[in-house]
Amino acid sequence: MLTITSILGNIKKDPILNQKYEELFQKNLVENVIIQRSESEKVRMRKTSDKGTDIGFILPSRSRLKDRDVVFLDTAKMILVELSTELVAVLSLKISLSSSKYTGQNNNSDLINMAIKIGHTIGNLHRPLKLEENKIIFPIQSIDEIDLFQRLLSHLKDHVVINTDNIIFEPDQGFDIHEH
Amino acid sequence: MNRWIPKCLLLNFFIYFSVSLSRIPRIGIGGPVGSGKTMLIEQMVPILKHEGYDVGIISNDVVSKEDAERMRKNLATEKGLMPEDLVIGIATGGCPHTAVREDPSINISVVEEMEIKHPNLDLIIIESGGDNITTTFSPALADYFIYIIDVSGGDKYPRKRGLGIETCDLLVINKIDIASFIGADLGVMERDAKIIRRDKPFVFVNSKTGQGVREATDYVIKDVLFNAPPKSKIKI
Repeated sequence: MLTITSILGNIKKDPILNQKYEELFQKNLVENVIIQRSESEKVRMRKTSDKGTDIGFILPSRSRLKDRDVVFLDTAKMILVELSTELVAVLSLKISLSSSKYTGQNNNSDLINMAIKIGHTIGNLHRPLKLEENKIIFPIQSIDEIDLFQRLLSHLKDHVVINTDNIIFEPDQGFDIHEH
Repeated sequence: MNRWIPKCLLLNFFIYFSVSLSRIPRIGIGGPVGSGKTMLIEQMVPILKHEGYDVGIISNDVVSKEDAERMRKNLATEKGLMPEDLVIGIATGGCPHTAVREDPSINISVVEEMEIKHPNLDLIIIESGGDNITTTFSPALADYFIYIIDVSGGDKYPRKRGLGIETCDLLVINKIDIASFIGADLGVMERDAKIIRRDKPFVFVNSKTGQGVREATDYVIKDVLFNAPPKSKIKI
């Protein structure tokens, strides 16, 4: 078993690691260890990489594994964390959060009103959250849950479109609350 | 090669040796009232002890400490498998999941007290009070999560899903001995558990007789203890 005790960095953020990744990837020397989001805060777990390496994580308390984190690197191998995709609801606002065209007029209070109502509804259901431009993204367990949100947000149906997607979901900092 | 190693690596090693090594592996066991959480622990601890592993238990109940008292009597007083002070009861008072997920501070404080008083423990088991299918443990509290259900709810139980059933590290399906009496088809439960759990494990057990508990315990030894020898057998 290969014991991992630290996170070396992330190829999305560290250009040197990313360059090393490109080199090793060309030589087929990159392995991925796939974890679910619910496992990203675990500091002790045993996993097997996609190339069969038996890995034991013993990380410092409060560590958090992110997609494309490098957890092992030597001249012959790089091991990356890959977060598995999951089902999410995507609420697309028909206006930009940075503008105030909610009612067709310059009415900031209406925009704030809508944001609070959506935030209150999602918050009541204890979901972690990610904001992307005019999209609000949060995990769901089943497509059937869309009916629930369409009903709860029915008074905003002219301004919000609700869809589903299957993506790697990483909540915004500070919005990774427990869910149930 | 060294230039690829971030400067913080030495600090990480320091943190690992000073913090992680003192952290005793922890498993959380959750499931509905009457599903067999306590009895599963009562069956697992003798197997772990037989392998040489020393275990501490923290048992959460809503308004009593009944389960802790039962395990203390059974495992410590009568069987002598552990000191009596290594079975600790917590009466959570409110929703059981609150004490193991939303605000696990009471459990964490008891775990840390146990780690200080008994640093040679190999494993700490934390039992949640009986709860629903969305029960999960905070990763700050438990490294590994066992969710236990029983067949009396019908063979539809696994496909009902819920965070507990879906995200736990090991799903235990208990009371298989009564399946035929209540018309629960274990084949259906196995099929649905495979679909819902994908590559994550599940085991059928009968906690009364111990059937299947060895397999469940082997998952703990492999995935939580990493097949390491018991601390008591390590010669320094």
